[in-house]
Amino acid sequence: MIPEKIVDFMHGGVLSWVGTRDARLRPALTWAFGVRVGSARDEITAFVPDVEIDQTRSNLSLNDLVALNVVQPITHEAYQFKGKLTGMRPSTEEEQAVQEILRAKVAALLIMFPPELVTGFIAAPSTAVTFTVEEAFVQTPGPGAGRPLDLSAGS
Amino acid sequence: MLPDEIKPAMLGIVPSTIVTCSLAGVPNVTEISQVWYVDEDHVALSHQFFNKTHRNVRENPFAAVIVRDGRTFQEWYLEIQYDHSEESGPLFDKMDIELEAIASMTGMSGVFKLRAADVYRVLSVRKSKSRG
Amino acid sequence: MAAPPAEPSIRDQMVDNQKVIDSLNNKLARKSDEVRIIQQISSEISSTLDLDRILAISLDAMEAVLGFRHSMILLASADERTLKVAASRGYDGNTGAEIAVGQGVLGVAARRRQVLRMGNVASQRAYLAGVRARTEAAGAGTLAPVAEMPGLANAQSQLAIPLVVKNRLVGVLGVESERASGFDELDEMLLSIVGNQIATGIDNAQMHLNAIEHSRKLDAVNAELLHLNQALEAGVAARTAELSSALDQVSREKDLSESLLRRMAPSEVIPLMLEDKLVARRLDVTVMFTDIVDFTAYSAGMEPDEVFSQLNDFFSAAGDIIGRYRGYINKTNGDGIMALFGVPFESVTHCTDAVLAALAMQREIGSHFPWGMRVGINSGVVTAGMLGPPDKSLYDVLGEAVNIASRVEALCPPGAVAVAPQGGEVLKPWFRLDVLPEQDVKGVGRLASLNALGLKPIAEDGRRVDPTSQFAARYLPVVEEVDAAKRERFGMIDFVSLQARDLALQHNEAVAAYAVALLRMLRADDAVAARWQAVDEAELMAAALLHDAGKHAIEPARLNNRNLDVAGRDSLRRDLLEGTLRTLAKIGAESLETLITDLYRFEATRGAEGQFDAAVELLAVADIYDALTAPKIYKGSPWRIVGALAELMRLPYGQTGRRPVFAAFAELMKPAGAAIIARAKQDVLIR
Repeated sequence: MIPEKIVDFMHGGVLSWVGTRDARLRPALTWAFGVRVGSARDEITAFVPDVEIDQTRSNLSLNDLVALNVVQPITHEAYQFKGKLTGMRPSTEEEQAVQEILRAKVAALLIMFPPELVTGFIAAPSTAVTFTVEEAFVQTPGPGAGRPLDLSAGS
Repeated sequence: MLPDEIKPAMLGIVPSTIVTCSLAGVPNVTEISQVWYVDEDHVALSHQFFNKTHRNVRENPFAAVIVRDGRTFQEWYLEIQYDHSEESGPLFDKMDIELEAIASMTGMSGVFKLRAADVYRVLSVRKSKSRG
Repeated sequence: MAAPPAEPSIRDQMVDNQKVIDSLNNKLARKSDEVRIIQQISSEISSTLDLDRILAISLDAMEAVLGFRHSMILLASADERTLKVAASRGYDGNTGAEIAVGQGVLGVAARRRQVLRMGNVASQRAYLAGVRARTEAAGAGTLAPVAEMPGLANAQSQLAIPLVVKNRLVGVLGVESERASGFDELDEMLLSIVGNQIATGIDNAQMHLNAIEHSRKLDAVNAELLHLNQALEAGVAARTAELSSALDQVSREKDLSESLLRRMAPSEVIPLMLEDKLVARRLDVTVMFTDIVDFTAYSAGMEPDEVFSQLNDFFSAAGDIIGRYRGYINKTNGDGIMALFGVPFESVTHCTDAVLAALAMQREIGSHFPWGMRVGINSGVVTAGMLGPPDKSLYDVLGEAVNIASRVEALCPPGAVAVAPQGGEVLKPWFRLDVLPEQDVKGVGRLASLNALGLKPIAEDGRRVDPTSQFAARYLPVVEEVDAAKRERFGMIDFVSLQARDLALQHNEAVAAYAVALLRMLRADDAVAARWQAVDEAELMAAALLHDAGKHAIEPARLNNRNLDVAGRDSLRRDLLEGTLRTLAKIGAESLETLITDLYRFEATRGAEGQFDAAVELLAVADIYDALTAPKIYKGSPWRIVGALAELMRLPYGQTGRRPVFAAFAELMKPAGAAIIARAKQDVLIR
């Protein structure tokens, strides 16, 4: 289970990135606009905007391996989650609303940048990509990066 | 292959993101502070720590990066392939002196040391559609 | 499969090309503007020994002239481990802030003695700051404290130039901005050049301060010795001879150094004075007097401070120019200057040096005053030595020659350079001279001074260019092109003072003009055009202009030595090449290295060894021709044009069929109607 503090972190003003790979082990990258951690804290849904989802979708039709990186853009605190895909479907209206809340949170963080930075991203329509979490790591850049997170129950 | 317009996105003004994949097939995504423009067909990353990204590209050289223009926030998507590392020479020296300057200002001299400049070949480049 | 993209239309291509051309033109225009600016800045800096003034000039220039709003200069401690802000612009109080060498962009540039230009400092610092926070939280060892850096808290762009003189770290010059990528390669190049000037200026100022400090120390030593002496006298022991002579020597040294420092004598004079070389003797020198017309009227409404400030600025500027031509300001008298050439350090070119210095002064500072400046020059025998009461003696000169110079100056029209008539013979080959109206001069009689208008243009110099030659008929515009290139691309080099050292006046310009004219002539000749198409004209011109730029570092006595043997000549050539290559590196013209090195090799081996590029042959023939035809101090009479061309054909590398260049050059320069007759290899005539 993902520690609660980190769940809160993931629901705050953060940027996220989804990594997948094709049959020839060529990796691909896309960005997710908003993530949601399941109540059991062992599953994550990332909302991936459709404008840049093609390669990811194609990769996930061949294998089920997903990596998700979540970064706070100011402090660069970051975590990475790896697991197996359980489902892909269009985001619901409620989920799109969640995305907009995220946009506001990120905009508040990046107050020193022009607002177009954040408003310019095309978040919708998007696809909800859900995967179970098998491994998690601290990804904040520096000497400790890559350290595994303890996901055992009660953490 | 790299157009001149991409250069402002390779100045280390805002961070970039990289994805690699181990030989076992597991993708790995992480943020990096700068992707360096070497020439029209090559980019470079600084190698400081023995992390997963570093281990992955030495088994499986293919990677992808997203770089961002610090002023317009236009994003570019590059598919790249690890080519070789340089532990001396003008590229290494440039990265090294800049890292030394920044590290010394954040009290991190000695902690952040450049081990090598990793040079990658650019396989493809396109503008991201993330902003339309 | 998508259709392939449409070919850009011709119009699109033209628009794109024009954008590239415009961008290049802008870069060039900016570059030539700023080259002029560098020359101006470096001349101001080298005119003063006052450290604060040098810092002020440098930083004012950063802002006013180069547009950098935030700049600072830090000076290194003696042990080169710390840097302290000595002056800054664009900040609220910064001076005195200290950083360690190795700390920040400034400190690292200093430590590695490397220019460092970054455009993403704030971003990268923020990135690492996050890392640091995590590292600390994780308790991973103790980290050094975050450095407090002087300057803008949010600096994103920084450009740091280490100031190094003879391997000593003098300090660092830094400019910064809150914009990302605020400085480019051009800024880096310009500041590197200015940085060298600043470094040297600071180094000189510090040496000057050390000299003053030394004098104060001598004061202290003097006082101590006196005290000791008194104690000894009070005691039983007699005064020893050693003590007394030590006192004398210290006294003398102290007097000398004080009087020198008070007069700001040029550094070359001080060792001569300390070595007692300035004994009274008769010498052949040139004396120059200058005077500002109606200065009293000009300064009538000014506050005393302003009057003095104006005059001191004028003396600084004049001193700089006079020094460039190896002259020496002997004394100032109100708004007038008396300068000496050829003394106290000897020079065979003192007469022409004085005229060149005077022309430069009228050009660069004479027009500053509304009614202009007068200059009077005379050469002759004077008596020179230390003159004045024992503790206040100054180096001075006496004699009729001095008086005449003063009278000539009084009769000089404002803006002109008046020379006593006996200087005419020496000056005639080089200068355009006018005769001023005859005047009655007290003590001398009727005097018709000469007005030196300027250097004779190459085209009007009958010893170099025959007016009926093809060069004169078709290629004179090349001379103007060379002058333009000289100003726009190499404005930082004072060619005149370089050439004055061995009286090789306008040599570089002549070589450039001949070489380019010859190239164009060969290109127009169908039979050989192909070989000459590949030669880059701009590069050829640049190489010609810079081929002996290292001359400024060679002692004039060595350059003018008529009796050099083969070894001496080889050694001189080697030193000249080395100095030239160093100058090329300094001004970023390294691309000319190969061409110029090959030229020297050609001349050293007389063209016999190895292959040479087409460009080398062009330069060689032009160089040798000018060396033969232009008057020089150490060459006695120059060759006549036809004689020189015949000599070119007779030289080993003119004879072989492999070098049609020399025959072509003869065609270009020979008087119309002259014919080249070759009877036998050894016997070439141009009639």
